[in-house]
Amino acid sequence: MTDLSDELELIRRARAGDQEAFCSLAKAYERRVYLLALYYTRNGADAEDMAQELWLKAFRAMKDFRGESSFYTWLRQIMINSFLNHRRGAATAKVSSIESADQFFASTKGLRSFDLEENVHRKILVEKIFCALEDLTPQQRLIFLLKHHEGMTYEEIARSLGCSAGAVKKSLFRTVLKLREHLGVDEGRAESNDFIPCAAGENL
Amino acid sequence: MHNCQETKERLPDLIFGEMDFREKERTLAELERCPSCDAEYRSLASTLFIYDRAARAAQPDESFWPAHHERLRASYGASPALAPHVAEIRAYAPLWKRILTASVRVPAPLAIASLSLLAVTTLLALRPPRTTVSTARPETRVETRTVEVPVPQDRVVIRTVYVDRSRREGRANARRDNGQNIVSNQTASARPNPAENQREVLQGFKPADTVNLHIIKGSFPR
Ligand SMILES: [Zn+2]
Repeated sequence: MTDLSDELELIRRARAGDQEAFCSLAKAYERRVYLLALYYTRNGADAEDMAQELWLKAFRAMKDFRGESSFYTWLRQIMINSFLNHRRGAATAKVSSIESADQFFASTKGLRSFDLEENVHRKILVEKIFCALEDLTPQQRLIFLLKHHEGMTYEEIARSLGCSAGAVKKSLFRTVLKLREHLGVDEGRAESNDFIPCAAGENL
Repeated sequence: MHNCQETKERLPDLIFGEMDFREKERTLAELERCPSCDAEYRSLASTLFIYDRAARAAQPDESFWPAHHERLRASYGASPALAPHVAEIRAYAPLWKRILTASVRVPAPLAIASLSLLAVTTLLALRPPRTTVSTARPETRVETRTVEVPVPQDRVVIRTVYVDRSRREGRANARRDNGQNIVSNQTASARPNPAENQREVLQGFKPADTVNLHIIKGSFPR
């Protein structure tokens, strides 16, 4: 989907209930949505469920899309709400959804035909990143994904989540420190834990 | 004057691209002058770099996506979304058409209960009424009138007494002379001629075993 007029036409047809048009529209964003769900849940099956639930919500809500923002911006707000609801559900269930790298690669067909050494290296990396993401609160994880993967500004994230831009910044900084710890990055000479770069009293 | 704490507090803005061009230039210049701040910056930037590499490693193989797309497509088909023509009507039709085609989602038990109630109500409404026609047509009034009707009853008589009625017969003959119609009963006609004026002898008389008497009760006109 590179041509904006094509997307507008697909949106018009999808709003009128054309399932094929919606499929074509969704196809352009399916990877992006699935990967965000994957990093958020750290579990291939959960990511699949979450992505499917999100697209179904969007399909049903398509008639309400007024074109006041881009299709993806509208879709992303549905996605954020889904993530927040999923977080509440997961918090209630108190079930950890993390899976081992072997399980993960089996469920997502993630291992390509690299050599053995490359695959071992990838597994270690994936386990590290999933452990790091697991160590974040769901909101920290969501803020990090919206910032680092989606490129949203502090203000946009704050509006979407209903918090302050300062709280978003503080959350991001803490996230990077946790990631650094889990990924084993050398802290150098800096004593990075000595400072927190946002307003006091805000806590995510 | 460089302040390490202030510079480090700005580092998230730098690595997440929240600085404008001038602020970015100023901060990078400070990092060049301060090894501690520069090390911290490189450390944070390396973290994101490694994270990105790991995130890419976690991405599924290319063969995953067509199957994923097909699963999503199938889920739209199974979804109770609007039929195209209905959606078209909703989007562009006038208000009265939208109202006519509007639908409301209700839970299945509530829907079943409502339909059952509707069915019972319809059946009761269609059933023929048990009440008299007077309710349907109030102009025809029923007039109640009391009429005395003779009620005949059969009784078995087990004893019959016969008496001499010659004196009465004499009065009856006098009435006949006066032109009155007298109906004489069987018993009277069977009697011996009163002109003989003799005492009737009942010797050898054999009455019937039973006699049917018709007794008329009530205020039958005499
Ligand atoms: Zn410094």
